[in-house]
Amino acid sequence: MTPAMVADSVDVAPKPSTRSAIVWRALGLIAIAAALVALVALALAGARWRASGSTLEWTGDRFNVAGGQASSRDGALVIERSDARGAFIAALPTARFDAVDYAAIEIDVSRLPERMPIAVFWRSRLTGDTTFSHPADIDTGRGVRAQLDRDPNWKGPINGIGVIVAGGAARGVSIDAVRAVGASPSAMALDALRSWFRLETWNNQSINVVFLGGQYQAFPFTLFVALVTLLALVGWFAWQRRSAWPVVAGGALVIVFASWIALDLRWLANLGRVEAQTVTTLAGKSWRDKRLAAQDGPLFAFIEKVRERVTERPGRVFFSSDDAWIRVRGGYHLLPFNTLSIAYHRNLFETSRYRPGDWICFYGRRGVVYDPGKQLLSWDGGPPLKAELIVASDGGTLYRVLPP
Amino acid sequence: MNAFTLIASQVLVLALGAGITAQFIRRGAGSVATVSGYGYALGSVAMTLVLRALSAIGIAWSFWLAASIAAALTIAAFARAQRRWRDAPPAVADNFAAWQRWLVVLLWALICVHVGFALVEALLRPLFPWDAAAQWATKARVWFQYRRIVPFVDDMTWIGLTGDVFTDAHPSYPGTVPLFQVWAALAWGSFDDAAVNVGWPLFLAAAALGIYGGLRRLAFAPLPAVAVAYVVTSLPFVDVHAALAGYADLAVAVVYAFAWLAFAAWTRERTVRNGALTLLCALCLPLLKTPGWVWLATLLPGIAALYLTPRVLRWVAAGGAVVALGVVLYASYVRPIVIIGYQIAPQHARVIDALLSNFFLFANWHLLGFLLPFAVLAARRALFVPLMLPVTVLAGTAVAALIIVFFFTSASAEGVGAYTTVNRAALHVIPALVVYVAILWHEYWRMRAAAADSAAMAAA
Repeated sequence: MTPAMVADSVDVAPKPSTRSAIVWRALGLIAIAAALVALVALALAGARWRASGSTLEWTGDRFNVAGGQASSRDGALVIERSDARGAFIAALPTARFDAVDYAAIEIDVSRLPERMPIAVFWRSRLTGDTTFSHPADIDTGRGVRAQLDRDPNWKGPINGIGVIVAGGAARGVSIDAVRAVGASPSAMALDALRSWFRLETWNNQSINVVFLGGQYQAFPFTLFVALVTLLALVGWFAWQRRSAWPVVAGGALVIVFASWIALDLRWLANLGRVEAQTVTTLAGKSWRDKRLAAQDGPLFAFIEKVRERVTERPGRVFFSSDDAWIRVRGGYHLLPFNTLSIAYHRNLFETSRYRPGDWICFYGRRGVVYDPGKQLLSWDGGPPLKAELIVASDGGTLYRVLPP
Repeated sequence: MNAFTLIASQVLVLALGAGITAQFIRRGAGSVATVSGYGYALGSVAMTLVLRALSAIGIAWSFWLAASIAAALTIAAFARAQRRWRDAPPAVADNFAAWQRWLVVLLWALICVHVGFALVEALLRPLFPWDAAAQWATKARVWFQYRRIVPFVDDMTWIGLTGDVFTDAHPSYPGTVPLFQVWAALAWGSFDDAAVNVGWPLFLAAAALGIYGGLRRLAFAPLPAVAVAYVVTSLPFVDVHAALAGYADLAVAVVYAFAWLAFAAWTRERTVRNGALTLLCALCLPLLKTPGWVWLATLLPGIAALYLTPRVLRWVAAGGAVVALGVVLYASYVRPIVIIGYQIAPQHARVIDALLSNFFLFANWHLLGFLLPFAVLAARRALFVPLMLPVTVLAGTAVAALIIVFFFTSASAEGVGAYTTVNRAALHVIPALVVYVAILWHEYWRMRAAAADSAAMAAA
């Protein structure tokens, strides 16, 4: 330890007035750091300082169908079929705004299959009747986004925008809303805030990773708070370099604590809303109703029917589905019957491994063929097995293996 | 059989574990919190041993029988611990400022909010996460039905067998976590896969109490001790594993952190009791999950550091690094080596991307990705002082093990890039690392204060 450090450390316990000053100075430094980081982020994100437009939003049902067929449902536009060229086109000719004020178009969509291409198109008064398009290829969590501020054709007064869903199999896809995202600093800041605090409910990945939107955001909240913290710490150490050690360390702890609390309050706000949903959907329900209300409720309802029949004549139960998650859940719901449901693949054993009295259960599985006349069951083109059909409902079937 | 017996089952687990922990803990600052926190974790494991013993001797499980045995063991443990506790002087009341008291209350309140949310979710939502339904609760469901442990085998073996033999995605996984659920189900009276998850949020509460108590035993003041407990319980990924119950990872993380705390106390006090508590926690790890063997093994270099001179330790560390490198090279270029199901070899998955995203962009660990390296760097002068050296060796070994898991095992290809493993593997170590950094900073602060005192005396 150097003599300078020893001298710095003499005053071990700050006085109350000093303590209060440390806290306020540290908090002030955080505020300055937050403003600086936000300004740099807005500049890097291409904020237009003179732009004034706030974000505009239109519900899906305000769009006219220009190609294909769709119906309105709860404010959304639900696609029923694509046009002859395999595209669905919806347009809003009444949309009027200046391109300079808006940086992107976001489309909120539900039930969109993976890798199904979406694009936005628009007309500008500067370019007459020419229509321009741009792929909406940025995932937003609620849909997709077309970043337009660097598109050379995104200019002038916009008089009409639209959405193209390509790929043919668009049936059931719902266009919930379309937004023109403002390019002004205030609109972009509000947009970021909304995105940071958007609800993230439980999903199959929740047990592996807590995103809180971080996988979609260009500037996640965690990174923002971390940069603010590091900048504030650097500022604090530079500012207080001649102060005693407890003052330097105390201020640093205040900065870290405040930042931590900010992140934790965001997490608690999300968790609290998730718990409110849990209470609303599950509290006060019976054992059975809770399971029917769960994500795999339809599967549970089917398995209930299976269980009734297997209980009458217990035997080994083989469960298969095309979907890995369904295989896991189906196998679990069938316990404590002696069940095989392979999580890792959809294949079953070859037919010679089955014994009379075994049960074979399929749910949402392709490739199953049953001949009721001959009572022959086969799957994936394999040799048939003598079996009787016991249950067929709700996308699932149950067979009992018979003696050959 | 109802909510009352479910609560009673958890109180009994706590009492049994508290009785066990009290054998190793001296009365003093933090002792009650330590006994409670460690007590719940160790008591949960002890209860599963009671169930295993009953099954092994062929007695069908019933709540009242298992509860009676646990109660008898609890009484015996407390009777043994009572004399030592009675003779010890009571802890001196803490004298701290009003603002500190308010902060302590605020932090405990925040901890309660986290635990409360997890409790609501765990008790209302039927078993949810993937592996819980694929390989953990499967065993619990069957064993509860049979009121004993029946074998689980792989599917290829299962297809050729008859009788009470079952299969699931990982039949060889340890039975301790399923037995947590069996114990709750015995108390509840049926296998309600929401009620049986009661233990997971209670493990979160135990983590807070055990970390607070363990740090108080290491002479932490109440405020920094509760702050560290809050840091751990506020981590979103920790909360998720308490709320979406059914995995073994939270229990491993809590018990491993407790082992580190006991080890730090052992380093300071050099008492057999602290050593025994460290080993007891360590031995629970492989009972909870197979990778627990790795975390158990990471304690060995730390224990060696307690007894070896620094010079010998340097040679041992260099030897260990050479052996580890040799194993990786051998597995890569000569013959593959498989350890606990993972193949050892350099991996080509995008591990760095996954680590950067999960520690710096996503919400899993709040600011830990930024702060832990910064904190270690800032307090580097305290890393190798005699009281810290064994704990630093332990922390270094654990981080090295994590690096090997991420960069040199097939776990990388299977789950790091796709995010299915990266956070769960880190979860085992993160609470312990938070505890380590807190101890490091406490030591560093003490060094600076001592230097200040010396300077003041010299000036006088």
